[in-house]
Amino acid sequence: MSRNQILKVLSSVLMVTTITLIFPLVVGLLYAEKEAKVFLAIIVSLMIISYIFSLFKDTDAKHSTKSGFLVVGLSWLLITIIGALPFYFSGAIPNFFDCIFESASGFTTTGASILNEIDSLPKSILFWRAETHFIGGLGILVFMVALIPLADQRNIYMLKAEMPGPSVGKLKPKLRDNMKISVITYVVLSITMLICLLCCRLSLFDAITTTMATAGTGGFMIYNESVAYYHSVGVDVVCTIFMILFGVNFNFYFFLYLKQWKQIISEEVRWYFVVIFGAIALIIWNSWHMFNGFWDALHHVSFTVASTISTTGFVITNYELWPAFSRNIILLLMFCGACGGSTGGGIKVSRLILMFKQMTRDISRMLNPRSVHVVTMDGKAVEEDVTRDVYSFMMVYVVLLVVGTLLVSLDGTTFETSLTAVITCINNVGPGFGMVGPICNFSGFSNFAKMVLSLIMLLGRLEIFPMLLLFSPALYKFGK
Amino acid sequence: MKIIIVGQGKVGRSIAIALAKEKHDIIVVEQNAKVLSKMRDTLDVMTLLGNGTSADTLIEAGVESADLCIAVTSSDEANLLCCLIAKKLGATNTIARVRNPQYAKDLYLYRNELGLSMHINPELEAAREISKILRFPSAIHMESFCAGKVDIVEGKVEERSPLVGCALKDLRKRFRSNILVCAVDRNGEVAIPAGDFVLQANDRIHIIGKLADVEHFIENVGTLPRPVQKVMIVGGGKISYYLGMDLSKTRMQVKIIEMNEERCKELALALPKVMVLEGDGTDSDILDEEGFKEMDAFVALTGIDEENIILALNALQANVKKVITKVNHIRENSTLYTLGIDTYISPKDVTANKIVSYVRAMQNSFGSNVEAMSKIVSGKVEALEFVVKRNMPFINIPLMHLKFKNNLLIGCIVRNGEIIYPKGNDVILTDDHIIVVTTQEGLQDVTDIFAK
Repeated sequence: MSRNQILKVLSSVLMVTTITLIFPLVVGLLYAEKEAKVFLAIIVSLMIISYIFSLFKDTDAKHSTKSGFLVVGLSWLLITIIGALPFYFSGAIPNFFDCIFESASGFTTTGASILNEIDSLPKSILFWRAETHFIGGLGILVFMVALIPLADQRNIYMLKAEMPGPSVGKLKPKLRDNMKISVITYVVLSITMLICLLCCRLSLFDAITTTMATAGTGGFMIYNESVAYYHSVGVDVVCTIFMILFGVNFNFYFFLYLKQWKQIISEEVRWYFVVIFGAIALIIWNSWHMFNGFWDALHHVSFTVASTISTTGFVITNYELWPAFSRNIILLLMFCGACGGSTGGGIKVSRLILMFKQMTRDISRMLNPRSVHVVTMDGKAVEEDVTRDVYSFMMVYVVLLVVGTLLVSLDGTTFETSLTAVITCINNVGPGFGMVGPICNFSGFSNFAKMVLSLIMLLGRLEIFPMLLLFSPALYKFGK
Repeated sequence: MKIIIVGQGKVGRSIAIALAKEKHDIIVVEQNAKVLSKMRDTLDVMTLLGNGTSADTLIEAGVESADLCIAVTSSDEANLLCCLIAKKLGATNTIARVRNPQYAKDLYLYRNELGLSMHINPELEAAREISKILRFPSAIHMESFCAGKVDIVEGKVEERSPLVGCALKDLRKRFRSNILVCAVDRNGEVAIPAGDFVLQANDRIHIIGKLADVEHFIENVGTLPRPVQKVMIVGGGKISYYLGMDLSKTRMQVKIIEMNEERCKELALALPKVMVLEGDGTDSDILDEEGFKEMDAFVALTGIDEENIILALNALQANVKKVITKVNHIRENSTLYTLGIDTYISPKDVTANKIVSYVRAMQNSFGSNVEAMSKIVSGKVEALEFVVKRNMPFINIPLMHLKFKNNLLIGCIVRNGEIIYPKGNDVILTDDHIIVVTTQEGLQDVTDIFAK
């Protein structure tokens, strides 16, 4: 692994991110806002920096697992900082730590905000917030590999680290073609949603920002009241459907396109829908008295369930008023998360399935020590390595929850607030319970807690290891 | 092109690496999950766990739209079966590795009746390569182009050779011969030299030209060793068998030393002209007794790389002129050169090269026009043969007015069977075959040789 090579990739990341800043610049110009100047200044200065970086000589050294992780971790730190710049220099968010939090929350598609007054922000800033979701949903490196041909074909390490889910399967032999399929699926789904929203009589600006926030399963809205602002059943239904769709493994759409019906309904997708419908049914049953009739209940409950399991975090109703059982189901959905290979966060349905299967296997082994079981998924044997990785992921996940909660509780908040704040951040959902509930936000935390939570969001988005390894001394010891 | 490779042993892996570099869509099928996960991590290929001889697996790999299916599992039968099924399911071309010489005789059947496009036998290829070297001992390595009209011969500049300190542009005048030095490897650094390049001792030069011209040149330089008459081969495996067959047709005296008594009998039966000796080839007493030191050439073909290398070093110490070593596991490696082992043969690389040139020739039929391709200088340089088709923009323009890519040289132009060593005022005409030597990889078309 060579330093120059890492800098080279980082300069490409910088370049691509800078290019994405052009869109809010255009929005700023269209609405004749003074923030346009800020965007222009940032774009020009970043361009210069990325040009300087690109002057470094590329070496022949190949990407190793190590440099793959390092590049991903550093890239995400880099874009988080770049994302914070417009907030800070436009004066929209005066505190720099708040800017970092907002940017991390955007790119990781969490959607947790520290802003109390969203409505009054300039349009270009609102657009940038939504756009960070759109970029972060698929991952900056996925975009980069699909758009720019990189010299080294061994980028699989980098993408492995960025793509969510326990294992990265390929649909096409070439990595780049796979990334193109992902990007095309993403864009086509987004455009479909945009058209649906326009049909619901949303203005173009509102429709675009809402679409971007949903596509990345993010959750930033341009109004304080979130989606509830529109009071439109049509918008709610469109959002519900697309939140669920963006949480489905993108392979689903590829097989749909190829009309390979057999492969479409994978075990993961099947369980994803089972969990969704199960949760909706249980909550409606439990909190029936809260709603006016079945359709009202279905409307609010399905929206909230979709918003939580896809880890979007849109709000149309204050679920904190629901009975305890329903609230706990919402909390569990946060952990569950969407499918691997989607834009959603959380533990991922496939990981839970694998863990559950491994668990039943281990239990039956205790009863019949000589019995041999192979864990299967979609009728295929799952390699031991994968199940072991799932176990270690869960282990580290729990440790992070504990450590995160301890650090955040230094602020003196209640246990519920500090625990759910960490849960909602690590799973990239957005709202939690208590002080960070659906109608509140994260502005009440200290700078320290905000930094901890930002880091936890990044850890959650990159499925912990790429980020965690940045702090491992072993990464820096050999073969610099 | 979409290529399915079934079986990921040594050869399969080499092929996958070489073809992935050429940017083909590759799907590898293998039954061992560990091997597959390593492939997935290091190469940009799609992997599929399963049995390559079952139709289900091949269908899952997308065989119906595949341009080529290469079967290189360890079993001949499985390979043939795999190719048969692949062909029936719609693969355009199939290549099978067939090692058993008994099957090799029936291959005409497979080709016509079963639609096998090509079969490859790594041991046979390796044996052919060794036999070529033994017949032309001043070369370390050689490659043929234009149906054998042009060869690229690799040789080493000896310490006391008159070549030391000589600039390339003076070579033709000084040694009155019609050749061109197209690549020089100096301590692992490869150069495509210009006319003012000055040779040094221990440079490994690649000479392109008619074989007779190259021989003439080497004679004039005065380093030509006497032709090989006595050859000793240690190890009686498949390569030894094929090599013995090949050498039996020449006047060389061949001795094969093999440990296994049964195998010795088989060899003795199959190779009546060859002296087969039973004994441990690593035992220096036996070697001495059998006139090890009087040999003109020594070939180490045991199954163990380390043993082969030690044997080769012993032979070098005993001043055997030509020492050839087989290596299986060691990849392209300059350590062997520093030890003095400059001629080594790796069956898997020979096979991979053959398949890559086959694939390029296949591409030729759909648009690209590479006629033949060889990798020289341990795979760092490619020598490509192109046919110039009509209406190319560069036709009839003197070469000095054309702008070529860096590190690229036109080795020679073959026009109506005549070889032209190009100078600045020569031109390229329609139907010429040109041989291009370059460090740039993956050239597909003759127009690729020009700078953009």
